[in-house]
Amino acid sequence: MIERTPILNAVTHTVLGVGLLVMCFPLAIAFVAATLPYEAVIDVPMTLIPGSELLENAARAWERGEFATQGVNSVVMTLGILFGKVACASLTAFAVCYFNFRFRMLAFWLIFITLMLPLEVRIVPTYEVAGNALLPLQQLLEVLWLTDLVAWLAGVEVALEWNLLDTYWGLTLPLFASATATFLFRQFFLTIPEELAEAAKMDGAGPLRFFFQILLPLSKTNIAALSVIMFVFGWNQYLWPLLITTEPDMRTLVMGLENLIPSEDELPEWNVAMAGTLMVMLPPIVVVLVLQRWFVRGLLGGEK
Amino acid sequence: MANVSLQRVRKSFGTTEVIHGIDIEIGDGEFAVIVGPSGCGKSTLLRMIAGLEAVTAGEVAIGDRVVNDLEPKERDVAMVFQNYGLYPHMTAFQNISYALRIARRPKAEIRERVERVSRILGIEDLLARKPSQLSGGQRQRVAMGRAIIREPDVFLFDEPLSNLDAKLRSQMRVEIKRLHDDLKATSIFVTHDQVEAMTMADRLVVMNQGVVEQTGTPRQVYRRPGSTYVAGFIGAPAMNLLPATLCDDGAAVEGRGIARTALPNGAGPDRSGRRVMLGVRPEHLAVVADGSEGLLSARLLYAEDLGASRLLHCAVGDDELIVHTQDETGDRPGDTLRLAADPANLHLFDADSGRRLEVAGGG
Repeated sequence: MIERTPILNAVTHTVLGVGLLVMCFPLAIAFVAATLPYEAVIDVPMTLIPGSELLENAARAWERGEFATQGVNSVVMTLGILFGKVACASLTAFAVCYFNFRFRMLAFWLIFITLMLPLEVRIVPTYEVAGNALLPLQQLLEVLWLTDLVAWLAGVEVALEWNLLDTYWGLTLPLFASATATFLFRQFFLTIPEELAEAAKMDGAGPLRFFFQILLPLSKTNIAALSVIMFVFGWNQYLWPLLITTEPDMRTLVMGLENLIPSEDELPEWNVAMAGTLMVMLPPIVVVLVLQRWFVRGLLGGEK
Repeated sequence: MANVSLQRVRKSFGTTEVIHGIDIEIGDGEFAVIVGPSGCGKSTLLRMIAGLEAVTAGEVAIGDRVVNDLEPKERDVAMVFQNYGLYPHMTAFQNISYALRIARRPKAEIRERVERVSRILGIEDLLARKPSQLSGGQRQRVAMGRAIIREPDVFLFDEPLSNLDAKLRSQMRVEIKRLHDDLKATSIFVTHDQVEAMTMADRLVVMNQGVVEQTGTPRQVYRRPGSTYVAGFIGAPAMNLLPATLCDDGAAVEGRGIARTALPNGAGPDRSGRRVMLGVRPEHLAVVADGSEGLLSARLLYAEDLGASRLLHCAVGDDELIVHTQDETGDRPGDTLRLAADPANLHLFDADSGRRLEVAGGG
């Protein structure tokens, strides 16, 4: 639709501009602070002209925040969550879309409803399960009297335990399930013509072959789009890693930032804290910039 | 190669039965066309033969095997889909060879067979392209290649030409038929297009609302339609059907606007006064000079010029009627035409059931 509306254009641009300022001003402050020497950053009011000590500040932040270890942890956690989510969601959506089992719609709606239960809401039970990931299985066995049966037959007490605290599994596994991603995959699978599945069936492809050789290659853009969202989501995890890790060498970058924030009895070195913040912000920004073309394409659902 | 036999086949979706007991025998190497309007169950029937749809009751056999419970890949059938069903992310070569690659055939054999098939279909130069880079007709050929390469017992075609433009459609029609003559594999072709049905079939199966109305060669079905439904469906423009009454103890027929006409072989005496539908094909009606004896008189509504011939749309009372003629007459809309037909070309149908009455000679 092409219309000439100069006044409306001006208004929209003003709104956009204001929004941009509101969004970018804190970032600009952080950037400026990160480039200033300590003496300049504690001036009130702080200058808005960038200094020249960005690299020095960054180096000190890297040192002080133990970014080397935490960086590895962050990357492992983020990629773990990313792959876990894509694998889980695509397989779930495949099951919901292509298999006609009893309670299929019920299963789908149960998954969908978990949108209303983000991690923050169920953090206590999730933590309990993470303490022993096999706890639900153990309880199931107990309900079914199977533990007693084994104890009676073999004389061994069944006590399943798999502690996820302070492990990479603990950082990632509880975040694998994703209703959003499942829904996105489902919507995409629904647009794939049924004939494709039938043609594959006629060609002798089993369900898994169809999934890996036809559905997944067709979902490329979709997966790319999802990866962008999930990368940012995984990278920014704070509450869960805070809870599940106690060892310093299992901490992630986002948690590590806390170390950089000056406490009462330290020098208020905000320039170092801001340099650290900038570094931590960088990976998601890079991912979004690099993949944004795919991101838009995937969400709009176009092949070309 | 194999024959295909359906016995008392039924199909229900939930509580709705869409196919009400169908028996069809298709001989080895035959080209059978199942024709009917959309929603008559013809595609469902084909999908049951393919194994994409479960058979509710009855028996589907290919060759000597009952295949009701076999997976599609175990039935040795190949299918060409309406929208081709090509894998968009694979090249034509990969599409055609997919079944062989799944079956883990040696690379050299795959290459050799793809080349042979693509030579038959004239798509050797397109093998490296993806479906999105192919035209409709080329996609059609790739889809056929995917079916042919498996050298199946039975080919199934699910309205494969309906997405092509008219010119390409008639061209592909000939090609598929020629291909069948070469390969000699049993083929079942589903279509709603009666021209495709007439031109391609060795055996024609006319379906309507989940039952088979009539089977036979195209010629038989055209010459002796078994019901008013088949009469209206096969042949274009459709057969004219006019209400009439038997008289003279069933030896003649008359009706409003229809002169008393003797039938070549009369019916029994109980048939006098029986209400019937009189059928006569547009191409069997001829305009005759005023005053001469004719079957009926009709008022010309308008004439369509097709170039080689003309279609005269006429009215007989409240009923419409079409005459397909090659004569150049100078008639104007509103004129009254005298129409004649050879009594051998008249068809009689029961007015209530629509079934054919074996009174008028048609064969």
